Amino acid sequence: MKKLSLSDNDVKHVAKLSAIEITEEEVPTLKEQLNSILDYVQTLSEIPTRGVEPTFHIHPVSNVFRDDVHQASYKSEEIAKIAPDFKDNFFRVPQIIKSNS
Amino acid sequence: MSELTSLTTSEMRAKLLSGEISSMELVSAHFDRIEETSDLNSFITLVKDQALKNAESADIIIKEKGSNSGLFTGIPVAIKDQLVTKGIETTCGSKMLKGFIPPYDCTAVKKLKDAGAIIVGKTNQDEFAMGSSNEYSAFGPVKNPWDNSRVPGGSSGGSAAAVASGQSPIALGTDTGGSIRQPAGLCGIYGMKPTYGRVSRYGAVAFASSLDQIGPFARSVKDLALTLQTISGLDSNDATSVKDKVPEFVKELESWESKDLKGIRFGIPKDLMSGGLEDSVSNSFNEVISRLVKLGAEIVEISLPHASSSLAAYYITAPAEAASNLARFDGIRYGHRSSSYHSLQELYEKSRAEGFGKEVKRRIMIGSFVLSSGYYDAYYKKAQQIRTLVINDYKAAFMNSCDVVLTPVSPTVAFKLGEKTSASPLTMYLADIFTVPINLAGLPGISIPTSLSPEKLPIGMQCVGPLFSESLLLGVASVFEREFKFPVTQRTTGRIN
Repeated sequence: MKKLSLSDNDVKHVAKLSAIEITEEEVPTLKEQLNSILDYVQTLSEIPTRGVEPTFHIHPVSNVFRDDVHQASYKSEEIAKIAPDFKDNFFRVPQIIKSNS
Repeated sequence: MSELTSLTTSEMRAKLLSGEISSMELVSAHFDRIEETSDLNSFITLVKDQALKNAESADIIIKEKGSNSGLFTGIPVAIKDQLVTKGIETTCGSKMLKGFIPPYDCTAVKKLKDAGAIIVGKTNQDEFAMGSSNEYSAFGPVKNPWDNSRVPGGSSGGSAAAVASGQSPIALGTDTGGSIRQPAGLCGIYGMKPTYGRVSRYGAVAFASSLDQIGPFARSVKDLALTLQTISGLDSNDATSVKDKVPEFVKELESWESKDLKGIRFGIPKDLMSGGLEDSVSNSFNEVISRLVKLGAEIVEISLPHASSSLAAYYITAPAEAASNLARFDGIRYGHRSSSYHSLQELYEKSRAEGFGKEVKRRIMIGSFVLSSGYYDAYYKKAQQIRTLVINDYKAAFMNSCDVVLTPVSPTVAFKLGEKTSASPLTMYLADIFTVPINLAGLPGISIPTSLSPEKLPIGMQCVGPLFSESLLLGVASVFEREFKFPVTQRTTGRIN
């Protein structure tokens, strides 16, 4: 693997992927920090892993089922207490689809 | 009455049952201690009124039920703020969750409450458990009870400092890469990361789901065993919790009372330790080894050729899982929402920019990058392949050479506040070199305080065993406890500075 280093634009792209707003002033420091971390983790490329199965999880568990019985959910009053903007049983967000009028 | 803050929970229980003390006195003594040592900044939220009310009820229960009452009835506990607590603000050390009052309890917390424990408060931590010094908290750093100018370790630094300073006899923390063992080591108490799946993760706000595990802090091995026993077990709310019957840790520990370490093989991973230890840690480690030999243990050199690559694999795996887990903080259903936005996208981006601290943002960004199109195989998949190699290293060691792997918990004693945050983020990451491989392999690990450095700072040793070998680790730790007699209550009374 050839050594990779993030550019200013890469940093902005990664911030976008992360849904985190960053300012122009933050870019140089972030670039330096992220690159130092990437430099370090790229040392792994020197370790041969051809044919090694990846382990995503320690225990081989899959499809853990429970009985299909209904359970009480939270009351909407409780959810309303922790939501930033909640009205008539809905979370309120800015308009997503523009109207034609 | 200040000695009440030095007792173990078993000693507290005996005094409560005999009527020598009331839960009210016990809980009040702990709040007095918390006030007296508030400079440590170990709590984000305290719930004194509620705790005193619960103490009043506990005293009635003890009178009525006596020894049939729950094991922790009337006994104070501290809970890391990463664990959700019904009706008690839970912030994860982040501005993102300031004011968040969960509608449910974390399973481990609920189990402690069902056993009668009284929550005194929520402990400070690195934001979303990302850090090794507790300096990445939105609520200010925690100070080490042995030296106020130093860090307690992290990320569960508040829990460790609370137990070490007598603010609480036990505490819960979470450990993703060392976040229980490292602060336990730096604060001179016992801490355990159980086998992955031993304790339900339900209600532990997810950081890196394949690595996270809840575990206990205590000032005695028996208390560690009692707490672990109480919080362990299958939970239908966590599909990764394991079905195996929970052993009787406390009972099994009793069988060690008359034992030494005869026949136990301690593996020393020379390749992992070549990176350099601080002198005091290295001296202490060598001293421990010679004491172990006197106690009948066998010391064998082992090879874990991939363990030193764990750190790099960890700093791909953990951020990748974090980027995914922390996507839930979108400013819509709970948590911080920015006050100025024009679109949904902007709402997300601004809320997250304002709510998350610097280290959390860095890790999310690294995670988003390594999972992004074109880089997945080179980073994330590669790291999971390394994980397989690390697991195989430990398997081979346990199968062929040793029963327990022994290293120091950390390469250094507690470092100075600000010492590592001013440097590159990587400097902090290197503090986790001995603890991280265990999370990748899912193994249990215990942190045992063994000695004080020349500057009177705690040094701890880590014992790691095969999957589900907590009983063995607790037993070994109890022998260490008896032999090394670390002054675990030294900071639980008196002035702290």
